[in-house]
Amino acid sequence: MVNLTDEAKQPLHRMEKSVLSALVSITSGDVQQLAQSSKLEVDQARRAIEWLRTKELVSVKSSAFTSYSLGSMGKKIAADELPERRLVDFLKQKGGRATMKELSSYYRDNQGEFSAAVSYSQVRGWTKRVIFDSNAGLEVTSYSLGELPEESILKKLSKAPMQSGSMTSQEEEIISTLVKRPNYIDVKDSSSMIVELTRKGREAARSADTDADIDNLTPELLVSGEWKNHTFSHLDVEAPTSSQPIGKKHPFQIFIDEVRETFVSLGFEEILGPIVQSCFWNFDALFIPQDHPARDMQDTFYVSEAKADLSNFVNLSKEVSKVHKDGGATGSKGWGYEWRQENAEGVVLRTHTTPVTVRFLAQNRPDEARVFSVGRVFRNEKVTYKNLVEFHQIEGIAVGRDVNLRNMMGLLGKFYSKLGFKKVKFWPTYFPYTEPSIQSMVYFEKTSKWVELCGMGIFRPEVTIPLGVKNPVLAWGGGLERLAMLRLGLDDARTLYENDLGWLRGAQFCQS
Amino acid sequence: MVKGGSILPVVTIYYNRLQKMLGSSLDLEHVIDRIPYLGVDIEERTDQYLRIEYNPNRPDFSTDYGIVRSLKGLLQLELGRPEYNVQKGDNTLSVDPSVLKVRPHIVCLEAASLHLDQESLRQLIAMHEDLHNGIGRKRRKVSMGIHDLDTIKPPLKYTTTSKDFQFIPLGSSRKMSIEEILRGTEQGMTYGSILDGFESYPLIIDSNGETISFPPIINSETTKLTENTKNLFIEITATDLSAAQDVLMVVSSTLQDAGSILTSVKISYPQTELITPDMTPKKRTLKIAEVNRLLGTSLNGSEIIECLARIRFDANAEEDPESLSVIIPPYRVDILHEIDLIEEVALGYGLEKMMPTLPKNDLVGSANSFQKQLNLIREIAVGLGLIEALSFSLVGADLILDLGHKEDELVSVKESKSAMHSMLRGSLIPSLLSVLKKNTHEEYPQKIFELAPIFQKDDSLENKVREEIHLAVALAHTQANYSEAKSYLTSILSTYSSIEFKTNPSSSRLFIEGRGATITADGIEVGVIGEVHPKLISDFQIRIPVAALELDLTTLVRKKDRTS
Repeated sequence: MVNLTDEAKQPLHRMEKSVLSALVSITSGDVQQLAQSSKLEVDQARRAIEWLRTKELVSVKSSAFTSYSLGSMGKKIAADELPERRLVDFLKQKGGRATMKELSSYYRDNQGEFSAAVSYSQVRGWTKRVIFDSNAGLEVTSYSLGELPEESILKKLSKAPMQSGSMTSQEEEIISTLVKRPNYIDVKDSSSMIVELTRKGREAARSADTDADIDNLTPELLVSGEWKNHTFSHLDVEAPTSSQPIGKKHPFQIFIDEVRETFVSLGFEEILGPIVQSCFWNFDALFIPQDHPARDMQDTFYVSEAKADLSNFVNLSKEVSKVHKDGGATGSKGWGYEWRQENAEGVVLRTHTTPVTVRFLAQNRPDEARVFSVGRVFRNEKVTYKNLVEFHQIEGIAVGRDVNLRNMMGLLGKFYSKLGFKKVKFWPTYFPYTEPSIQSMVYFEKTSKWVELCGMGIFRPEVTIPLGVKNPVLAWGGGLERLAMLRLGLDDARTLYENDLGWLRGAQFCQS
Repeated sequence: MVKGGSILPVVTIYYNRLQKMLGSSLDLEHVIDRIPYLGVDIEERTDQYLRIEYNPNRPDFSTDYGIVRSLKGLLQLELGRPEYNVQKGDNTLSVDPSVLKVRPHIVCLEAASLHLDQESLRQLIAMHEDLHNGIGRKRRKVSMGIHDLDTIKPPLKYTTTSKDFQFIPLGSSRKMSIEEILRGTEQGMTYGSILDGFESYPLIIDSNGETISFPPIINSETTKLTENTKNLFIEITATDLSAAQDVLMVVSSTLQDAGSILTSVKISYPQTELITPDMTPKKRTLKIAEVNRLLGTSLNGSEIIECLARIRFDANAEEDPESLSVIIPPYRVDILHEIDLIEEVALGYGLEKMMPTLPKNDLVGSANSFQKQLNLIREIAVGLGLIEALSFSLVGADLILDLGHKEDELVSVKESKSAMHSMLRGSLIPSLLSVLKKNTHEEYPQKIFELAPIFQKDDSLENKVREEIHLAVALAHTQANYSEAKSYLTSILSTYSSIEFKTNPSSSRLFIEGRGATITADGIEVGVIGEVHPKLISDFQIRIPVAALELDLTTLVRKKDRTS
């Protein structure tokens, strides 16, 4: 709300506000001027000024001045012409001269004008006295048609009175000559008020220069239209306020959405699959041998007292068992051991999203596809700033007759670049179910560091052939938290799951 | 994509050895730059040595000898397959039929004229460890004993004995029985379980009847290596012959590279004979077109041969001009399939020289429809001013028991390393209550939601666990109550779809009696709603009223699909 000093807060009448507002625009003025610019009657303005003066919001100075307006003769002359001009006109009609007798009969009804005309025409040098035919008379000497200064002042006065102090010295001199001619000019000495804002007045004007009538617009004011008769109090628009409670997605979720969009923009479709998987899909179908250390309870969470039902995959598990033993029909040596169904029946929290991918391949046997998944995965590890027991992984595959290792690097490069990582490095690595296998690193500009991200490769024939997939399958995947940490500027992965409301409310959207 | 196992083996390489083996004229920086292109990670770099993490498919990288062997190829110092020579030896080892049921396979090697300095010895010991843990699967599959050949009197016998048999185990000063060794020594306690269930125990003895080794547990004290040892006898016992052969190939090639002369041993099985080590290289056919198809290259036969030479493989043109015959060095035990050779070609060519390109096939992507529905609901929640929380699915038992779930409906995991992560949550409200608990110092009102999977036992399913996506909302402030929660529920459901829902009174431990309900849609239960019980609120040390609701979105989305 408004922050004003107490004095400035006192209620003002609408007329007072109008006058204050007028003073803001014209700085100072008399009653007439203020009445005019505040669109009030003069009386109203005068009253308002009086009230404001007692509140010390305006100061009033009086000033003395002389005012000139046309007198009765002045009005007549202004509408007609000066007597001396009429005299000259008459003389010209008479052939340039006339006897006094003739003149006297012409001015028979206006002797006053006659003497003034004779006297002023001679003063101006327009006529001179002459004797002709033994009669005294007047004769035109030189005559100017140009407007005299007296005439222009009379014209001006016919429009509005003039006041001393607002005239040039020349005008004042001319007026003083006109004043000498009887009834030409009315002279009146008077005084007037000049109104100005005080400091308090300026402050009040700021809050009231329109209207402090309305603090809050109400439905009643709107419906009745009454608001039109009011103005609104001004607020301190610079004052601080509290913030609004906001609804917000989790920053990590926003990033996950961005990654999803990135995949889709590269032609990928999202697939979903269970988090709880059998060992068969999590390991065996991926050609991970049954005695592989990753399958230890030391590394993987097994669900207590659960045995997966693999009866829907009898044929597939037969194929998988052959591949593990001696490569089956894949051309591989295999791992050279007797595969056991019961070891595939363990139920685990998926250690990667790859079982979702592999189930998709088994179900659809696509010749061509691009799919991806994002989801939670689990490792039986100790929680540290960079290792979580539960985290998110992304994984994408591209299947096609002609897809190759260079495409793999091309797709991943594009994926990274869309997420804002322009520099990528690749070098060889090993995964049990891909060959060739590649590890990637991206350069993170903000910290000038290379960060290891997704692993990738082409699924081994030992994986794809039993699934019935004939074309090469390019696959890549990796943890998402690390990427999110880079983008959100975090150095501890646990922050993402801490649910600190201060952080959740305040966290900026991550920028790409 | 996961690596195998959580901890990868590491090999240490000192620069002085590296320079000695490669030739000191080489720029060390250049050498170190190339090392990752062997397919390994430099884990640590000091001013004296590198620690390199290698992948378990390459046991030949377990010593600096193996790393250097491959590095010489990449640096083009030595190309093609290294030659290995095994002299035919006179010594024999016979296998007694009794051991075939216990630990049926054995291969041996003699390595003579070794001059091991301290670091060479350390490298061999590290290899020994890594082979035991990797291919050896912690000795269960393969184990190896290294002995001073000069303390042994061939011929040897691989046989079995009883638990009362006594000898002096390595590191002991007195005779101990097999039983004592299994129960009273570190090795016995660590590896004894491998022999669980057997009544007789494997034993290697020499012609004097002296015990050489009690595989896979411990060697004899009498054959131990000393600083004067020049000639080694190595026995490798296994449950899997090919794994034993793999270990033997790695050990043999490493020892020859370390300067020793290899000599074979004749193994007499009851039915057959085996002369080990047999370092005859294996051959595989490689189709040129397959290389180019999978790598996206256009290499010809001789270019592929050059690439393979840098990987230290030999290859020759075959009669069929489309194929090459590749000769694989014996220590490369990781080559299972033609695809493995193709990777070698890529490595020999250099990944860094392969220009990434996008695939030719162009596909149109699309968002998953279920995921889109979930996002819609998430948007509604955000639109209602709720803050999204993200919590773990795997939680401590204390968080979810006592909250209305029966323990037998919930899924727990075995041997978690953390009590905080031992059960899969069956609902989300408890997680939201812990969020509120953590944030009691933050400004109220606190209005939060989470959208995440929950888990419940279900024996009718393939994996015995049912997964549903739930939405939970918790409102915490001085006036939080049932009607507010229900107004949120109404807004969420009516904005999402035209599904009719009801709230039916029900009691649960979660809510105040008379202020809780189940939410049903078309008569099917899809959630719960209510004012959280004060006992629970105080258990969570929240100190402010909480109203909450939870919805099964999997069911709701399916319902909407059907109705729309």
